[in-house]
Amino acid sequence: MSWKPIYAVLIFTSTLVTYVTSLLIEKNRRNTNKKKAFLIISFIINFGILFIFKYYNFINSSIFSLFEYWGIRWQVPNLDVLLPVGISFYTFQAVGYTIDVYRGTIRAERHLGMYALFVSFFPQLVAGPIERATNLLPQFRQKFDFDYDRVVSGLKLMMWGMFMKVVVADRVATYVDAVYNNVPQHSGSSLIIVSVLFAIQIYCDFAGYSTIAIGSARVMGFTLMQNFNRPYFARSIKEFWSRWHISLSTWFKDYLYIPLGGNRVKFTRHLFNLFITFFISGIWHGANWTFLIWGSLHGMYLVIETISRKYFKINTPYVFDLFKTLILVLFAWIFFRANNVADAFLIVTKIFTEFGQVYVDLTVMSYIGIGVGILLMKEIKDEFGFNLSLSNSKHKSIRFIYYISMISLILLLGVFDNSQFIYIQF
Amino acid sequence: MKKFILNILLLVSLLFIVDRLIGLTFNKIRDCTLVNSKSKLDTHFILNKVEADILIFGNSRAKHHYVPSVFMDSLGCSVYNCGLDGTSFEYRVALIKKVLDRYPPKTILIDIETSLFEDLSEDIMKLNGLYPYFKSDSLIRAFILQEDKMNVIKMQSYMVQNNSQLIDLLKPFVISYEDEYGYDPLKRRMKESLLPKNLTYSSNGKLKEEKLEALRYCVELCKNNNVELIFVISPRFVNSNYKELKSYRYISNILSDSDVNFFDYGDISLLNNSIMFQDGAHLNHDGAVEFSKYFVKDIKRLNSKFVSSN
Repeated sequence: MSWKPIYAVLIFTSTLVTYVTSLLIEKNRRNTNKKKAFLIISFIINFGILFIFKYYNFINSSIFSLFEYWGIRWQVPNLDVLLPVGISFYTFQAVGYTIDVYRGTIRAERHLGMYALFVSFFPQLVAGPIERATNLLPQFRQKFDFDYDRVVSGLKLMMWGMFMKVVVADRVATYVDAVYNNVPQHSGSSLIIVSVLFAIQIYCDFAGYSTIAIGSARVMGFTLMQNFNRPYFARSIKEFWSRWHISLSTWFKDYLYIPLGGNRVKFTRHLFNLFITFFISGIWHGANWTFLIWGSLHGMYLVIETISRKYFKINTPYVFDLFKTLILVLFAWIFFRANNVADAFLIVTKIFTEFGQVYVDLTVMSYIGIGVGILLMKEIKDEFGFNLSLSNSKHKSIRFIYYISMISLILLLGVFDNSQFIYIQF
Repeated sequence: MKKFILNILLLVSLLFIVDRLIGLTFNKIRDCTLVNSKSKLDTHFILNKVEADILIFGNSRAKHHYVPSVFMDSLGCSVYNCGLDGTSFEYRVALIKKVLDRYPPKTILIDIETSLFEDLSEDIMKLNGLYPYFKSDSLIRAFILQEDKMNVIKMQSYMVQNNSQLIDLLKPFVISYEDEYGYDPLKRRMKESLLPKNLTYSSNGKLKEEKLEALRYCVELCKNNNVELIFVISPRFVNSNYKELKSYRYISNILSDSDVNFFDYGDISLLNNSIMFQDGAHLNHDGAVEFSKYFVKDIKRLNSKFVSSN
């Protein structure tokens, strides 16, 4: 994917720019115009870098296609650049810090090394959680002693995250990729199954990574924010976004939605704020029309939900809400995963019109069944608060049986062929 | 800290014991499939038990393209299809070597795609099915280490060796397949409208040296064991530029210099009919039968052991 040492210059630039502009913002805290100017400089440079490496080629190609359709020649070449690992994450983290300093939420960090550590903290550099300076920076100044319980709980988190990633996500990916990379050959029935499986894949891939990140930070003594909270148990889209990629949704809420006015404006403006926040969230996820559509869908869902909550107060059963939300989310994931817009619409069309033979690979399905079965048991236990935790049992033998079983499952059933985390491409 | 280190040591020790027990159990199950199961565990059967006059090796294109019953009826000798889905060229060579350690068949037939020897090809090593045999054979060991140098550490664990093998180990005891001497017929017809009409392989003019080395080794091995070797490119539906690739010319030269027969049906017009294919790369059963009949006639024309055995 994207590893050339020279690209370290980019994270260094982001770090230095936000470090310097934040100090200048704080120095000029009584001069609103100067403060604003430094903030804008920080935005331009950081988002400018993000634009060049992530969006330039997409926009250029889109303009080219549009002009070609109109018979006009557009000869601006694409850039031959890679997408640097973690650029969307550390850019948002650094810009968030600058905004916090601007607002006076946090004092500017004077120690460049400490600040650089905050931007490039390795557990969460590549795919989040997108941390807040108010949470993470103070922790770097604390002294930590070895704490047995903290280290063990961190290691347990890492183990569970690894299980989610290599046993569930990567195994499901072998089936999902086979179908999504060959959509015309597959029936609507296969596409329905694969849509459900992709929802599992992306959750386990991303939440698995976050769990490993949070666990490894905990081993070292640092507390990172929770990034996932069993999102598929949400009863509304609003609740889904309070459980899915929490660090990103709160970032957008604090730094885009609320500055736009949030819900403290006219109702129509409120709806606009909701939609535009998720539209831009879609753009953040990737340089492709499919992500834009995905983000817009969620924006539209929230708009409709907000309108119905205001005007139609209907009580619906928990199970109905759960499945309704799940179906809406699954439908939107089709656009997130599809290789292009044409494929996405083909999938949607086939799901509703073309039922046929299901693509079956018994071996892969068996492995998926084992992994998803274990995952489901844990998710239900955690969601409904059942007091049955093997890893926290007071009996050492049970705890050890649990550890050995999990490690054995990872080694026996995990997929280890260099597949990357999905969100690493952002 | 002391408590932590002691617990870690205890965990590692227990894991070591469990790892060994799992390895022994899996090996035992593997051996049981040779006698007590409803169907075969392919790799294990080929390595330890297969015996026939003609053996056919390759990946999924071999497994689904060569119908042993057609060969047997026409040539009057025993045939077994040792093709395995998703396996690399090195995998085939390793299987051949282990078979030759047990007995020399009259003929070995290898289905090949010369494009896989190109530097840019996606035929990575794919040796997972051979991991359990890492310690039992030097060639398998060499290939596995060539795949990834870290395997020298990873393969010390029996659980890692048996990664993703559990379901395949249990399947022979649960599911029975009709024994078609290793052949697996594909039943569907492809949608021709969905295929690209031309397939262009990428090339940077370089070849995968380790695969060429494996090819030369294989030729030498069969020669030393007095086994007739035949290489075949079986049909595809789409047109491609495979004959323009450096690998095609190079391999043709190696085989010609070594007096090895090489049959190229890659652009055969006889089977240029979508009803014979399940997808662009695989014949369905109808196509496999037609191809096998066509190919067997060419084998008979060779001045080979088949003619004398009739």
